[in-house]
Amino acid sequence: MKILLLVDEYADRPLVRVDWRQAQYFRDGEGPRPGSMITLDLPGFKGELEVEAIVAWLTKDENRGIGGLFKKKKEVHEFSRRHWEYTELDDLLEAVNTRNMIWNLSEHFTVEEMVEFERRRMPEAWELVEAWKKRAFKSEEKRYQALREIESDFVNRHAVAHAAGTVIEKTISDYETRRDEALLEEFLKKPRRMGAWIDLAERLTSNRGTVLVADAFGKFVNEEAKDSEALLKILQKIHGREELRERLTWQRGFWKHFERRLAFPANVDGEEIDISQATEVVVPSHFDLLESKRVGVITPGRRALRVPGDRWRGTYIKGGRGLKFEVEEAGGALRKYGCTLVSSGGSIQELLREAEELILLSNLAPEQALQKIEDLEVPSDHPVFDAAERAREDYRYARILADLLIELRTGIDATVARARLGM
Amino acid sequence: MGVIRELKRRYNTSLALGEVLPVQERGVPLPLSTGVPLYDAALLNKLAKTRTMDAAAHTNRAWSLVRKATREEREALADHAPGVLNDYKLLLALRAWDLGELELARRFVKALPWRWRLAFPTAVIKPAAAMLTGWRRRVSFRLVENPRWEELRKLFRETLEGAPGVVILKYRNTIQQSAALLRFRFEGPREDGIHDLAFESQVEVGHDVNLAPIPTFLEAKERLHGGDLKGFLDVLGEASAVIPITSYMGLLGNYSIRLYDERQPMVEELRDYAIRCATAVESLLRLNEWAPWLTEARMDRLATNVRGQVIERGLKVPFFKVVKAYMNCPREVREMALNPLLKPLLAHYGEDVRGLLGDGQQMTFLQPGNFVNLMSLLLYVVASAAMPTKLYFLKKDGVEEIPSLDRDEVLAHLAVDRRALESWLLREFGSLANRWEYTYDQKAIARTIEGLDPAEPLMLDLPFFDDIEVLQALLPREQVYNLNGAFGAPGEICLSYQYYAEFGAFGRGWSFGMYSRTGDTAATKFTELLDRLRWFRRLGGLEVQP
Repeated sequence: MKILLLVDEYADRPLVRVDWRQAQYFRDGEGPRPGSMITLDLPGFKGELEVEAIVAWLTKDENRGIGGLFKKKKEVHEFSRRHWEYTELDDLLEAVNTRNMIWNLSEHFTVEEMVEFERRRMPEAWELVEAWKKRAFKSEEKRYQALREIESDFVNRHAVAHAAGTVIEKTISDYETRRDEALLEEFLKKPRRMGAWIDLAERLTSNRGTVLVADAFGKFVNEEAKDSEALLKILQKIHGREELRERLTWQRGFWKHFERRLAFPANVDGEEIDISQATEVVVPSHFDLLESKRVGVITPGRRALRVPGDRWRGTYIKGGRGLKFEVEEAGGALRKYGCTLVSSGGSIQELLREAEELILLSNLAPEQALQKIEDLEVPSDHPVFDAAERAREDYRYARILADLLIELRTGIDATVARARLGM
Repeated sequence: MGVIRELKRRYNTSLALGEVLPVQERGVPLPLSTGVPLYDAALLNKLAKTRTMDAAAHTNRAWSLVRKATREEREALADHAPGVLNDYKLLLALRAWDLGELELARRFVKALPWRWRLAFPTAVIKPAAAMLTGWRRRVSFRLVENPRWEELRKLFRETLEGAPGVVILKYRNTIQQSAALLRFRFEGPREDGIHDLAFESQVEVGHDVNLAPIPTFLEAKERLHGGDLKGFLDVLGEASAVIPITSYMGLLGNYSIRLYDERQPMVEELRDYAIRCATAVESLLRLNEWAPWLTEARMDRLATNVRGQVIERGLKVPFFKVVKAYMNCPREVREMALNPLLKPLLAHYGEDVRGLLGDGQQMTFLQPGNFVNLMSLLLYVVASAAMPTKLYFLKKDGVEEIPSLDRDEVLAHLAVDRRALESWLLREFGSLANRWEYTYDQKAIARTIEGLDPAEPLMLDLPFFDDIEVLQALLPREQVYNLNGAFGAPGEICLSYQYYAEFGAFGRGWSFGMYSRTGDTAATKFTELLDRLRWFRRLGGLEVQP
């Protein structure tokens, strides 16, 4: 029986898993390269691909007592060199698990090997079908039985041929990666100026090349820029080149070198900003920050309120959700960082903020919580008053009070409000 | 009856009566009860968000329990103050203050860490500012009706008198807040110095007022402000008292000085001082960050500092934090830190475990032979170096007793790279360590458990496994610590288990999932549990106090 296997590595030793439950090794110095695909040949083996059966077969084949399974704690099951060969495409027509390996072919075979296989073995596939078509059968049952017999061979040949597309794709991308790595290596031999870096970053188009150049470019930007202002000038320059900007935006390797020195200064003054729809975010390192309105200094990695805009654009306000409570306490408008923050109310965000405040007050200051519904003209026999009275003595009533207040004040089901608030 | 089963029985009774919180709402999630809800809360509950209760709900419940406490209960908790969680110490101090039991309040306050002690007046006058965070700090309410202003000022003065300079420097904002709310009048040269530090931007504090290292900090800050980096380092270097690492890093940050920047003038001297002033926790947290410039000499100084604080002065640093900090470092640093830092700290943890379990106890570890969880193995070797232990590996067809593993050998392999560690595991445990299957011989496990002394502690680590025969064997045992889901024996406690879902697909009547498991926090939870158990025994009347 032939089995195709991918070679992994543990403790500097190649290993395979014929049965996923148990790793099996190779005799010292006789193992294949980790990362390769091998064909394990177990002549005469007829059992299921299970570790117990494999070990029994190995014991017989080796003609030595390798013992029962895991009787000895230091037991290591090993294949000899004669049990395996590096896989050739022809093996795929004989192995029992060919279809599991189709997705891996591009990692192990060249375009030339695939073409050669197709030229040589595909006509045979059609010959099989042609022969089947020409044969005379005694019954329909026999006819389709015969088709079943050639099915696996036919399908395997086609599956291998079909994988040629991914092999070509991989070959091209491998070439582009090698080309980009070489370009970067050559580029790094001499000190370069900003313009040359930008040109290079635009030229490297492979995935790997983009990752590598983003990392090296980020490092250069960090060394080149003395302070946050200089960093922003460089980012502005990149921002003007759309393709490059898009390529670098989500490359952590680019930003990581300088983001802890980065701060986006305020660019809005004297405006009225409605924060009703704003939510708290952790400021991302992103070019969109350059195009966003910024109230106060906005620092990546720190919290800010964000009034949504396209993508990561919008209005960023220094500070967290606490600002919403400050605005409320100040009567709906608060002067901050040269602007006036206002809350027009009514948004779901605003209602959830009120719910959060009611939960806190119900627990720690029930009288103040009750004051929050003074303007609602709630009938005096409403259970909220009884709950407030009892909450003074029995802490369990605080939750009941909060739930009633949330529904009265915000109209939101208290359970939903708590879930939305992460409680 | 065994202690664990009795504490669990009391918990089940109290839970049924609604007197205690379910495990998932407890800060320390253990199903134990002394029988007195206040004691249970004081030993396990924190005023922080849990699954369905936020900080305010916990505060409300805690205050309600504390308000109903009898004098006897308050006294009992004061006698056991080292075991009471800080949140409850503060609430108990507030209640005693409210009732005019000022000496009792002092006992609770004195048992609190310095920042809490200095914030006590704030907690009396404006509790939100001391107990809550963010916007909640501005909510106006009081727990104590009569702040007893004069007495409170007297207590604050006492606290300031006892506070060392380094504490004053670290918590000057806390002092400012308490003093402002108290309308506290600072008197004498030392208090004047504290006042200036807390309230003024330009201050001078003399060296003769017992506030070291504050004068050093101020002088150094002035030098740095004047651009005199050498002067800054000279001032710090000549002073015998070091400034706290937080103040030092804050100063460097304010003047854009980065320890990682090789272009930074005098960077080597700056790094040396960072090593000198770092606390044990900071040293461990920054081990990886500082790795590029750690030398043998610096590592020795750092390790001496950490050993001094943890081993000699009893500072509690969780077991897994030490191991994780160590494992996150590059190989060269791990090799450097092995002898001076890791080995002595782990030996210390072994002693801790032995002390908590009680002398003369033998501990048995049962764990899968094919799942060598490094943290579990470490817990075993740490314990085995300090007390008698047995280790059994569980297999598909049997259980094997493993001859004791040498702690230093295991630790030595932690110091090397991943491949070398794997080679050691393969050499030591064979391909068994590379088997991905959780099928064990339940009869052999049950037989092994039955053969052990029921009174001795047993540590179980059986991931993805449940069996009625094993439960049967566990029934008579008094101390079973399980790192996975509990089997359900009365003397058994589930310590912690975490399974991470990596992939899952679900349909009607079927599901498929891939999970990985980690026991990262198990070792810490184990020492925490042993510590909590000690206090539960004492407050639950299950142990004769010395």
